Amino acid sequence: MIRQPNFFIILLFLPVLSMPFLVPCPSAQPLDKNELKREIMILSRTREKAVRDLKRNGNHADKNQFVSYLDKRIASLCETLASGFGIKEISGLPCPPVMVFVPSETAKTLPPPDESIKKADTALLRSLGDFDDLLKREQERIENQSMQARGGSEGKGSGYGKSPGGLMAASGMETGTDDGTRGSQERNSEREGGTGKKGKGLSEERGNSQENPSGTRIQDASVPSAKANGPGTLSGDDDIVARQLREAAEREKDPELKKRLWEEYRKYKEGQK
Amino acid sequence: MKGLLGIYRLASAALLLVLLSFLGGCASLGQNSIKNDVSAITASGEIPDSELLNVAIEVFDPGSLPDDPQERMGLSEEIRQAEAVFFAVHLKDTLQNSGYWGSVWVVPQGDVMEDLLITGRIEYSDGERLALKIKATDARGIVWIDKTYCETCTRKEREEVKMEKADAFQDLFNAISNDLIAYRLKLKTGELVNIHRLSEMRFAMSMAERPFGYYCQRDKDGRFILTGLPAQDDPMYKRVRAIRARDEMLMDVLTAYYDNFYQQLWTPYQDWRKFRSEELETMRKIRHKALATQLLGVAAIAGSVLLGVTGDDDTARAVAPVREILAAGGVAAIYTGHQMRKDAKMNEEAIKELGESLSSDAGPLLVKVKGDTLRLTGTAKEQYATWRSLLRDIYRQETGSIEDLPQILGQENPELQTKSDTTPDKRPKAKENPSQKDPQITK
Repeated sequence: MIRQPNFFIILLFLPVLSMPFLVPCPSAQPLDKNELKREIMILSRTREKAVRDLKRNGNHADKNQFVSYLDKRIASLCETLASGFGIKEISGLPCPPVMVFVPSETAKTLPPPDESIKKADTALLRSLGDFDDLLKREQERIENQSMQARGGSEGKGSGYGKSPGGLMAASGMETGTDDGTRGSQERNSEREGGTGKKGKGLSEERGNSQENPSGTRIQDASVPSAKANGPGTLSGDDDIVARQLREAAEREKDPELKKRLWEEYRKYKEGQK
Repeated sequence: MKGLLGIYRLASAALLLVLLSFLGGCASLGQNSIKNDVSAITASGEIPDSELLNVAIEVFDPGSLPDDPQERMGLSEEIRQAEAVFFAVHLKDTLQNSGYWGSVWVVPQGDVMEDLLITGRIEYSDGERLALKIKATDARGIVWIDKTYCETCTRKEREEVKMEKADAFQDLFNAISNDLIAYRLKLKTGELVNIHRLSEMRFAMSMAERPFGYYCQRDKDGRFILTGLPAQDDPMYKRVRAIRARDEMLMDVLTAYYDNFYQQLWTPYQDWRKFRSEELETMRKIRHKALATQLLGVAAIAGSVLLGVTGDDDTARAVAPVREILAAGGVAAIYTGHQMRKDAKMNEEAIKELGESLSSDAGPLLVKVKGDTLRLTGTAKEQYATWRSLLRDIYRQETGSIEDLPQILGQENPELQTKSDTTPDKRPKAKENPSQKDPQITK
């Protein structure tokens, strides 16, 4: 008689009591701090390379977008690391400076701040976030402008060949229209050459991904057909960030880093779906 | 005698014109020309991040158009203003391609605090000749270069252009880049690190003068010197670094706007240069030919006069037909020369039309880039003011300082002074009161 209620109480608390023995669901984010650190370092290295490319090859909007994606990923991993394992864990890692005064960290490292300081810090963070959004919008605007300009300039000459040519023909001069037209054609062919190079790059990429041991079927399937419309344009179902990630993975020689970058690519693609 | 004097004057003027046309180039601008085929110095290996200085290039001062109507022909304020952006962007590309620098930005004119700041002024530009006055100053306030670079480009250089890589005046841009690299290579690693830290401190000071003023001061020569550094984990320093990261992102966006402008202007501008110089070349040829023909005509008339003056009546009678032929030929030559000059007028018209065409292309692009950058810098200015105010609030609350109150009241309040003394500022105090300025915000 006495045992009956006890049995029900145990049944009631069974889920709670069994919690420590439950295996956690596999998560998309690695929970081990060393894994997180390694991931941060790999992404930071990729970012450095992308920045170096930017410096060498000019300030292209798509590269910027890639770098800003990597920044966000690094910041998010740093935040996970700091909130999960303490602020000390991110020291020495390439974490963004804004990380250091997020309220949770402040609470762990500094004496409890005044409510007003906390408020001001929050206001500053919010303001910085708003500014980030503004800059992101501006970057998108620039990218659109750039795309429009590229689209608009295709097949459109400068129009300079005709005007002086006509006048020069009137004055009996030989130079003018011919050279002008040739100039435009040369430039157009140069532009086409650039596009062609890009196309070649993509077909090379496909070749590489087949050879790539960690490339797996997913990468092969996600690699678009070698149809590139020009620099900065999207090909297949890869957007700019995905393409940059894929290119970074393909260029990487270190097998471990390569694997990680492919994983990053896969995660990004899955996130897009 | 009067006739002889006239002929002498005409001949002198012609000689002067011929001499000037031979001198041409930078010599006529009073500048030494850059040699042809200046190779760009590029970094052979990767430079450690700590040794990479960031560079900000202010949009150049467009300068003024030439006074001489002939030199000003087909040029306009719009073209100059477009060139002021175009040259700044191309210099940025040249510096980036060298591999010796960290980030290189193009920013509007204003108060910029970067490791190295480059300002420039277009002294002369007509598509054939370019003279740029360039000044580079580092964060310490030390001037690296302050000189005028001038180049006359060749037809080949005008034809072999490549966006972001090779301009018609690439020798000039390479010369600037090489001079900057030569100076940078003389600096020791410690000095490079010092410059970088100083620019950081100057930025920090501009955002929060009170906590950071101590770390950066001016010496008797007006140069900035580091007197210390805040701790890396100083919360206020970290806040400022977070703001600086945004400042750099802002410069990225501004540069991207200028890059877009450069890319869109590239084709019309290069075409303008090419066709303008072709027209000029043709016009010069016609003018030289006309001048030579007219000089021959004058010489023939002079010969005819001289034949009449010298010798006795018999000789005069004997040479009379020759004199008549010479005189008639001379008049005909002068008339032909005059007709040739009329033809050259058509080239003048073409040059003007080319200028108008480029102005109409560049005008809307200029309005757009100015609008975009002004909108952005205006918003940023407001943001900086907000951040400064927040930092001041945080600092006041962290230290208990009431530094602003006496300033607000306009006089020192003994009561407040006592309060302030009881809550001493834990941080070292700034000696000076440098004006707070918005980084890369237009004046």
